[in-house]
Amino acid sequence: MARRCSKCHSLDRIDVVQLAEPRGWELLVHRMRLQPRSGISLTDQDTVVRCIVYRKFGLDTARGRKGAGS
Amino acid sequence: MRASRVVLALVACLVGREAQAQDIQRNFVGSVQLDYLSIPTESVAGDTALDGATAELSLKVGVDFSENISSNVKVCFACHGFEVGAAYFDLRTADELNFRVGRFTPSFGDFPVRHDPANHRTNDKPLPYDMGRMLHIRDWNMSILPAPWVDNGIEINGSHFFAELSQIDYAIYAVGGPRASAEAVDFDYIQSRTPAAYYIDNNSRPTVGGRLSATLGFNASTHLSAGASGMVGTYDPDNELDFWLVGADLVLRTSPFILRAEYLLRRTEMALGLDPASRFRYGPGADGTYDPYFLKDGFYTELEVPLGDLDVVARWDGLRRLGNTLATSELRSDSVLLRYTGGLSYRLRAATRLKLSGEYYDSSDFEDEVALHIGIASPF
Repeated sequence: MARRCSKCHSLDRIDVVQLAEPRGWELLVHRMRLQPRSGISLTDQDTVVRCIVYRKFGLDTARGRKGAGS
Repeated sequence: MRASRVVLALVACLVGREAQAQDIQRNFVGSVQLDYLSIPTESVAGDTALDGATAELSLKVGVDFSENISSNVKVCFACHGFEVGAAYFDLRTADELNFRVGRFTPSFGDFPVRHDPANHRTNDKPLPYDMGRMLHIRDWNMSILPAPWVDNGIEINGSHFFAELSQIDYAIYAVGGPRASAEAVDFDYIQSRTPAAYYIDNNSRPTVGGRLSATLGFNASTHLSAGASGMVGTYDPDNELDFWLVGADLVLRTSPFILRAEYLLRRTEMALGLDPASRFRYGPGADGTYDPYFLKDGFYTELEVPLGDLDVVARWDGLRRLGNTLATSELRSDSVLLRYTGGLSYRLRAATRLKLSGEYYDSSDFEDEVALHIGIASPF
């Protein structure tokens, strides 16, 4: 995530953005993946979404399964 | 008119169907930068540059109707007042095929993707993309392609991923293009952002362009990107003065640093007028005719080294103009401007950064000068 997302913006930007639902992050990262030179493959997209959703919502997936640690 | 109604109906239908399938997701983001530019080598620098404090604000709403349809609206406030920096739909049929329609920044070069002050570490933009912070801005008529270059039109773009870490991106577009009055000798950037001229194409002919870039991933932390861009069209209301613009860019990202380099070249036709002998500084060529074209090229190389909360940036950039000039111009037929920049970007807290930079201007036509920036920037 650090290497992919920071190509266009700082990682801090992810921390300050507040989305209401995990699904929003799924769609937002999908849109970022298709930015030129994103370097975010489909596999990376899943990893990035899971990482963000876990950090923001304590969920394992954007579809809403509770993480073990939450 | 009928065609546009059909397209709107199709979009509305698509949006409606997709919106039923998934919940619509909205996000609101923005950024702000306050920057103070001081020119200690000038007692009053107002004639040379837009010095002093400038605030750049952007507010953006993104709406994801689905994975295939999204819309973005961005409003910016800076020296010009409020401007719509983006208002477009993305209609995506596959990774490799996306239709972008509305008002947007057409794909050109590498820097425009990072033009937001919160997304680049320096206080100002590289000279080829400068939009108002360079010294001798009026003499040079700004840069080659001020970023962000916002225009109305359509762009077809896409990305193809391969070998897990690599991708190819392309874009082709048709937009309104730059503007100027009849009998112009260069773009008139004010006409591109003034409601007095309406936000429409001034000559009923689109400017077309495209971009192709490839990114090769060697391992998880090392990527090399190379791209080429081009744009061609006319810029006067009579559709007689043409221009073309090409660019090349290279970006190497590896673990301890990021190295960026870009080159832009624009060839622009000037109206010679009824009396070129009094209009221009230089006379005709050996064949007795006036060359109606001038060339303007520019480059930047930038090394960015992240060191935890501190980013160190070293940049070398420049502009050159070759060709006849107006009799009133301070420039010559071969003018060069080189700039050397050292900068620091320190993360104060969360995403808020303090930016400091010093610039040394080495000019062929003016006294060498120093510019100092201090700024604070943050996305939100």
